[in-house]
Amino acid sequence: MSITTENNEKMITLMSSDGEEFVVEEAVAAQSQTIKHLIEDGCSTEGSIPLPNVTGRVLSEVIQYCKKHSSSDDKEEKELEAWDAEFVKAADDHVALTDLMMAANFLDIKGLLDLVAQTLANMITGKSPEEVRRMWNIKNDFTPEEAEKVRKENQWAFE
Amino acid sequence: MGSPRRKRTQITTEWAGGEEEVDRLSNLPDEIIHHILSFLDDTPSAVKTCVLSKRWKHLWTSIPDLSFHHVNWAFLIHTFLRRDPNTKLHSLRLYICSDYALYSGVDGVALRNWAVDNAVRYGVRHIDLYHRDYIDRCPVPSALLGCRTLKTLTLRHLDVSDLLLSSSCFGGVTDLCLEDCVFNGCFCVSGIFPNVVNLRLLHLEVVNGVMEVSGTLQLVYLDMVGLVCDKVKLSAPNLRGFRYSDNGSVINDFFDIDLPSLRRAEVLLYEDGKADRVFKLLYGIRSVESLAISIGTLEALDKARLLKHQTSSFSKLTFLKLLVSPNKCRRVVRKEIKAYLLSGTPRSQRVDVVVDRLPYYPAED
Repeated sequence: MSITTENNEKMITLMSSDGEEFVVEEAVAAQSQTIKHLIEDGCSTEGSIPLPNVTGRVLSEVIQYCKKHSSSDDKEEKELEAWDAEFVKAADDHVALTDLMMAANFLDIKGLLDLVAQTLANMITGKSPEEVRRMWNIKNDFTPEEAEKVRKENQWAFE
Repeated sequence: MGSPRRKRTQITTEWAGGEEEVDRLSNLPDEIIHHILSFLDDTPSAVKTCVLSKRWKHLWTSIPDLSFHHVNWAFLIHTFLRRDPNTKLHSLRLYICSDYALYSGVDGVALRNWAVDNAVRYGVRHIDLYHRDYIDRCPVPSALLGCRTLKTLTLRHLDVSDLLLSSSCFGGVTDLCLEDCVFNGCFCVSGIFPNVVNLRLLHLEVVNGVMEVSGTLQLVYLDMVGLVCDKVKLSAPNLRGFRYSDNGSVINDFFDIDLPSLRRAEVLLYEDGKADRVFKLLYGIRSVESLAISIGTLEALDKARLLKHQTSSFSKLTFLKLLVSPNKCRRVVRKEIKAYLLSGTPRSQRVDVVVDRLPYYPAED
């Protein structure tokens, strides 16, 4: 479904996996390469664009990011960086971050994908394997012998 | 509408049969985990995740991005030897120090060449190579010269003369960045890349020699920092962005600057400079709409009464940023400077002028 607003900005409708609809400017949605290609292929003209992999909660966050980044051509980089930092802080629970990561990957939004990947990498940096496991509920399914073997095989990384 | 998150948590707790929460990090697809690992400091940090669980044991052997920052040579070899042979390599960042390698009984150049050979075999697309050698700058690894998969190439602290001799390779390179490199002869960009149709971004920092950038049709961004060159010739019909900083550089002359499509430029002049050189440069970038410029040099020219009665060649300006020394507590710009820079712009055209501090300390001022 395409609507045009007063300032001639084409609007398109995105539908999340749980049926929530979001009406956004085309320039905002086109931050996603996936959606951009769908629009170019004419998929936005009839009804809304279904996004079967993204829930409404995650999609609304993604849209927030895209809005900020589509209108920020002339803005100072520092301001945008600060905004990004706040954005991931607000999403700073593991579930939200991994969901955002999946959504950014599916929607192909490089900036967001890198931003979240960096955030997750920062959470792993400087932590012992045990701390990382606890943080992410990773079950250690190695026997002590196996664990020792793996560590030995890759001893160079641990030096 | 129900909360999708709560719904999913219910399913997973049922599935896990208890209060235990699901492991969302390990459940991500391989390529996404690889992407996260590529943001860790270096490859050793990524390899260390192998002990987390069986899921992670082999993940590192197919990571597409490798980054070695003065690492143990044995680790470097281990990473390549254990690598899954069916994977493609996306990027290699290798910082190596010959003297350190020698200290551990290794020939640094041989090790570096071996690593680059391997990367090329894995179809690497991006290479960033820094080779520290206290005695001399080492030549570029020969495997690079025939690499057809490369898209971006960064070479630091190397003798890049061999780039000038090679022909017909590098056709696919879009971004080239040379830092602290030397070369013999004339560095002619169109000469290095006979099929220069693809080069879009060129970053040159502290490169010594005669420079000629011409005939590069697709070049859209050019960055020149601290060059030590006798002459610089610039001709790029599609160049949109240009950054020039002469911090520490000696360029005796600019000639034939032809940049008709230029829109944005940042010019940081730290030396007082020869007036005609400065005017040549400013004339060369006259088609810009957005200009950021340091004003120290212009102030010196003004003091020498060289700006008076001059008209600048900027006729399309819509945005002008004047950069003052960070040492100055007040951001004051002499009105003569501003008047000179705006003198070529029609009065009817609106120009936004802002004053800001220089991003870093100049060598003098």
